[in-house]
Amino acid sequence: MKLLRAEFQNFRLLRDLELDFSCDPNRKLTVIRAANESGKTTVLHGLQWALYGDSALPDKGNGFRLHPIDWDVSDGRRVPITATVEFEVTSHRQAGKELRETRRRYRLVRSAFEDVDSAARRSASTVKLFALNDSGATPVNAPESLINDELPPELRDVFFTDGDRALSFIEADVALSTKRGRVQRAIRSLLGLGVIDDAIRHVNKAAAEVNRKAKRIGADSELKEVASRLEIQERQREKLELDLEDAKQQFASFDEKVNVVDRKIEATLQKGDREKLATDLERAQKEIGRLNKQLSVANKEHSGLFRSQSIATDLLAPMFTAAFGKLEELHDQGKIPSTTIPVLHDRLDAEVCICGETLKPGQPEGDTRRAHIQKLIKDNQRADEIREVITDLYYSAKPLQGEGSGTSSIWLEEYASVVERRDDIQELRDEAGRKLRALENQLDSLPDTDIQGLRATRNQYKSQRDNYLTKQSTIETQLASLKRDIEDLEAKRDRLLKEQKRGTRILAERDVIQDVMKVLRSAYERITNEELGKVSELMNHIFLEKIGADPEQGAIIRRAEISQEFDIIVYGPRDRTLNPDRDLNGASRRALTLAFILALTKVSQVEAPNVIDTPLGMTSGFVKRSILRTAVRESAQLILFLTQDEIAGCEEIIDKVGGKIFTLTNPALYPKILVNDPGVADRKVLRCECNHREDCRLCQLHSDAQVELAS
Amino acid sequence: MPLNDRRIISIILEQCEEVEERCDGYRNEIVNVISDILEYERAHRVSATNIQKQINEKCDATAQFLTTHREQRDGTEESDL
Repeated sequence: MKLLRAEFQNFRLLRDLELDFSCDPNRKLTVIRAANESGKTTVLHGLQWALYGDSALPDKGNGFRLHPIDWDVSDGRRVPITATVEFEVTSHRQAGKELRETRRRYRLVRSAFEDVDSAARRSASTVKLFALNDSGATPVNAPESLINDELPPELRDVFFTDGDRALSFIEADVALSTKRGRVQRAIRSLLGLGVIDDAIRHVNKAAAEVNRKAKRIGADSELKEVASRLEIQERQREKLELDLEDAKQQFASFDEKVNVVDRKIEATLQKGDREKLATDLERAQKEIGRLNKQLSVANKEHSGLFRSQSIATDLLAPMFTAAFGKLEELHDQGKIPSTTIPVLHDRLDAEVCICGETLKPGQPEGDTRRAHIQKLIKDNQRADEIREVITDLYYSAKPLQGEGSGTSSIWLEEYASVVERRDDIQELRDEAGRKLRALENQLDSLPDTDIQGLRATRNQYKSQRDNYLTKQSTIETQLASLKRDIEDLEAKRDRLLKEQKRGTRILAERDVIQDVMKVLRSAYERITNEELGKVSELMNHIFLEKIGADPEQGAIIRRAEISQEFDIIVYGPRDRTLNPDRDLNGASRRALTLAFILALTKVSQVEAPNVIDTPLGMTSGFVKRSILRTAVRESAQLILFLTQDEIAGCEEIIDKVGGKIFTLTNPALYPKILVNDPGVADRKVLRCECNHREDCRLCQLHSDAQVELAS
Repeated sequence: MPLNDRRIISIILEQCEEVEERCDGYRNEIVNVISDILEYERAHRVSATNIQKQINEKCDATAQFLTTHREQRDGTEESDL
């Protein structure tokens, strides 16, 4: 299939736009040059809407407005929207030894009405298909069937690619089974396995008919009994095959669900783990409790300082010093102390006299002296009371003398130590408080997602997925056993048929069906294995060629392949598997997806268009030119939407292979990006015939520097 | 159909070479049967047809071809005897 032309009316920015595409096999590139916001993506959506309807629009068209946003309601509140696509289909048929080629041209018209309101409700679209011939246009029934046959919806991503999102076959955000399913469907569909698969199914049913014929001619014989048993076994096999398919689909569905929940959990955990935050919060609260206790002790210690003796001695130190001076004076004058009594008591306690003689009791000399001293004490007790009081004062104040009169203050030292300790605890407490507040804020800002619940859901899905995997292997075992039984029964039936007169005819039919089936199955297997290998090899070749000049990626990437399980795998040094979504830069991911799409199209030898929006974004220099060159070489028909920046550096390639080149302009970009006022009141995309090297009054753009300066 | 017909047909033709020549012209008959079946499938995709009946009849016709040739061959062999 090749696209010939397209026309849009009232499709968003495309109020009235006609496009034509190159069908020249020697100049198969069509370049639609357009600056950003000039309708490139809208044209891509428009083409897909024309061919596939709402299901091809973002969000399957839900809430996706189609009519122009500045539609004047005086022109009606229901906007007629139309997209027309003309295309050519080439088919081949083997007629004897000759392969006949037929080319047919069609016009597909899809239209709908949409209300001009915020809901933008629209009627279900209607599609009309016309076969174009010399005599005009003839309506064709069931247009969807032809489109589904020529450009199957599962291949939409292959034929219509948004360069920025050209990752659907390798993106990390979907389950492996989903990516595998996409690759598998694309390959099977493009390689025509679907049609062979259908043929195998129908021929299989024809085989069942052979058995029914055998049953009919068997009358009451053993042949009838064997054929009946075979019939039951075949039905059982059909049922098991359906169950197996269902189990596989269910497995893939739950695998995808597990993946979705995993992504939700991951996304939530990236914002913060509510469970972990709650634990951290509890820990922070305990820490605060502990610090509060320490702080309370420190505060008590602090207040205790103000009740201590040391603060009194410190505060009274000057008075103490003066008083001691007086007392010392009296002491020096011998007025105090009333020395005798305390000294005498001291001596008695010490059991040694001032003169050095012993005062030990129990010794005759000691006892004599002690008696004398005790007499002296009694004599002195009669001294005047004042002197006694002063003496008491002198001696009782003596221990305080050192404390109050020193230059350094004990209390102040204690105070400094206590305050420092208390301040340290207070600081830790404040820090813990801030941490707690931060945790509370973090917890408050978390989305109300129940991680625990999500994990439980994930486990449920996982368990169901595993159940279907088990079911799958159980059915496969049952099927293997059933197939052996069927083979035995068929051998027996065929032996019995040979004994019947009319059996020869039925056996001939069985032979034909078996031979047809054998050819179809071997062709199916060969296409799957050989062609898959070819797609893989070509994809690798194109991919490496595209990224070959990128020193950064060139050093990392060794090769890419499609496995037998339909996984696209990229290998690094020492055959280490790389994750295309994480280990490859944007240009390489784009190159890999485009390499897969081009290889698949090329190997299948399908004549189908590759319509790609901004394929050269995020690329430059040799890599950019290499992507363009290989895309042109490997495509049957290449339609590229390119910005001026993407074209820069590729002009010579476009000179050589560009069959149709024109420019789309959005007047709304004046004056910021467009130099001249297009003089158009409506917001609509306009076409001019300027090629990749030309500018006209309509499409002339300011330079990047001018745009930056203006903004 | 998206797959280039020539590619499928060339593979099928190659696979048909493996088919036993059960009688003169049998292999060509099988090529035609398969070609027709794929054509029926293609038409069936565009607009629903009674494809099962068409395929059954096609296989039946080829079986008749094979039976006739076998009978002729067996008759020749019997008369030779």
